[in-house]
Amino acid sequence: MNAIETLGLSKTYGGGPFGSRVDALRNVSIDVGEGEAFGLLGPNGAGKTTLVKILLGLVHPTDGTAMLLGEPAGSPKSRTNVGYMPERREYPDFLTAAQVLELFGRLLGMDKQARSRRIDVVLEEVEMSNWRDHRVGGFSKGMQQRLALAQALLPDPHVLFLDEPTEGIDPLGRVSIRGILRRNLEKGRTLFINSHMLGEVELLCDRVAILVKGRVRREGPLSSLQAPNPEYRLVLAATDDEARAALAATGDEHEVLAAPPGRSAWRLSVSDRGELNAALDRVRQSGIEIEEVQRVRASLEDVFVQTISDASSEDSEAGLPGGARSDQAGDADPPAPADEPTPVTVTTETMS
Amino acid sequence: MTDAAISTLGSPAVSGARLTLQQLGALVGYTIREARHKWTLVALFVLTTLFLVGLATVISVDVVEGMIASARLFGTIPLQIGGNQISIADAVTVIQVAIVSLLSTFGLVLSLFVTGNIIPRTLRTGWVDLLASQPVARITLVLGRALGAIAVVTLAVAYLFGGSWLLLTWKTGFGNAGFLLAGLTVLFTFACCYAGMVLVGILTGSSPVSIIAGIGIWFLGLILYPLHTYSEWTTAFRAGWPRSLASGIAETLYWVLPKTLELTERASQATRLESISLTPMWTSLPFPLICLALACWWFARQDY
Repeated sequence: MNAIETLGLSKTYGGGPFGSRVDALRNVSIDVGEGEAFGLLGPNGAGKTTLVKILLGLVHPTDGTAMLLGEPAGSPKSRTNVGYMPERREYPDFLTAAQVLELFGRLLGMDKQARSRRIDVVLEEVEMSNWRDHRVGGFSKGMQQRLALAQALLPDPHVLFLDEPTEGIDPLGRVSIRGILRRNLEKGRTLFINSHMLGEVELLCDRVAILVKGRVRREGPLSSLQAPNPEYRLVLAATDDEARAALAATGDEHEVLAAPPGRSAWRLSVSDRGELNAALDRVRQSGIEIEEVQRVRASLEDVFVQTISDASSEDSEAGLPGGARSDQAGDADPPAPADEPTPVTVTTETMS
Repeated sequence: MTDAAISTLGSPAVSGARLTLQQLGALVGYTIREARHKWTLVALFVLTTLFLVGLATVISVDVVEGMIASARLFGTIPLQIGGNQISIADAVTVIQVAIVSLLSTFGLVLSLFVTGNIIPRTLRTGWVDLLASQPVARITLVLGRALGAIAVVTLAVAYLFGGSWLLLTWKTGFGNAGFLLAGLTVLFTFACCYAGMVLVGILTGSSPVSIIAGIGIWFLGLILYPLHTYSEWTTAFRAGWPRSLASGIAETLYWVLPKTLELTERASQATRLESISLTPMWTSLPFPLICLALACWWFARQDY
């Protein structure tokens, strides 16, 4: 059973006699397996928060179906084993951290003993034990973020929805929260992370979907999105001409790169590791020594920006309006506007 | 997910009706705590305490053979009661009717004023999402908060009526159970008006608009009863459809809205231990029930 399933999910806001119609989600179908860390990416107004809110029953879909842990999303039962950490939250400032958790524990149906035990556990987990009897009104943003995480963890959930979990947190705090999330992943929990902090998503998620103007434009394992056709950077002890001749014989797509004197550097595109090894064998057979082989991956940011750019181009060609509404909950800014030229970052990993 | 991992994950200890009751209890408790921290409850209790202290110190009575021989203000100023002796029961009843009248007007408006922001505060972005994303039915959220507001006012009314009753019983030896019944009638009147506030609060999310609506419902109930009883007022309108229309509107509103004036009269009658007709209660009851049903329905279909 998948933890989360959506099929043809659509949401249209407005459309009445006095309001303009806005398609926040259009035919979104995604599956998230149990124990998976799934990242939902997208620029402002892409519909990310709407999707999460539909899954949690906060927003009613216009069309399509959504299931959460095998139950129709929106039913109270579907939310029994679910934790939610919204981006924007307003805890009553007169309550202490323990009182906030006590309230949510009672709403979750926990008995007194279980509540008391879980409150201790989750406060310990988010390193807030010393603040349990302090009022929320005096908490910094980072502490409120930790409290929100504690509240999301309170039901001991199967699925954790996290909307910008590290937003507004200092680097040390981010590392700490990432550690907490990793530990939860190891416990078998499913993480659904909605974020514009691509670096964080890259570090935590196995699979991502990129939502643009309410449509899923790309979806898949992070590795396949970042390098759909594996590319390698070769540094050879040869001149460019010698290397070109040797690589031409492989039949693989290749492109010369800048290299230090006396060396020749190339980007080689292959379909799999076997093809790479075959190409390397041919190079060696040409009498050229191989100095370095590195896997080249596009960063998630490149994939993200490229996806948005592709989406804009497709919409222009199809004559669709370019603008989408601002997302209700105010998604945070993407790293760069879609129509700006963006620098390409190349992430490399040395092949063992 | 591994079996070992699954076994560590939790599920609610209670379910079904017990879960709903626990959730309602949590919301009522939270509302009372909120009222305490926002000074609402404290203000109501301070005002009530001042009133009770006043009642205890201002009037002193000397009882001789079941009759009030003399009554004094601040222990020194003599009060003449028509030159005749007055029975304890009559004197106590007069004081209690005065308290009921005060509570049914000033107290009720004050209660509506201080509880008017409870529902709109629930709808704050960032808080409603947190509450509604829990395994709680939305109807439970609305009813829990509404019951919480009624609980806050119940505490204040219980303190005032109970305190006054105890004080007067202690001073005069006459315990009037009808006075306690009048407290319930005042509470019922508040609940009727508050249900209208809940509906308006859910529809608009605005505290001022809710308060105006609640007080408006109470006020309309006061003026509609005379219009219903004395039909001569319609002669101010031209005969024909204008008169029929004016009369129709007034009659419709009279039957739809809670009959606050009649409820206040019933509270006074209960205090005087007179037999009372329950018709105003029964005919007022559909209004809060329909308002709460509409509020729950509307809240359940909204996107947050």
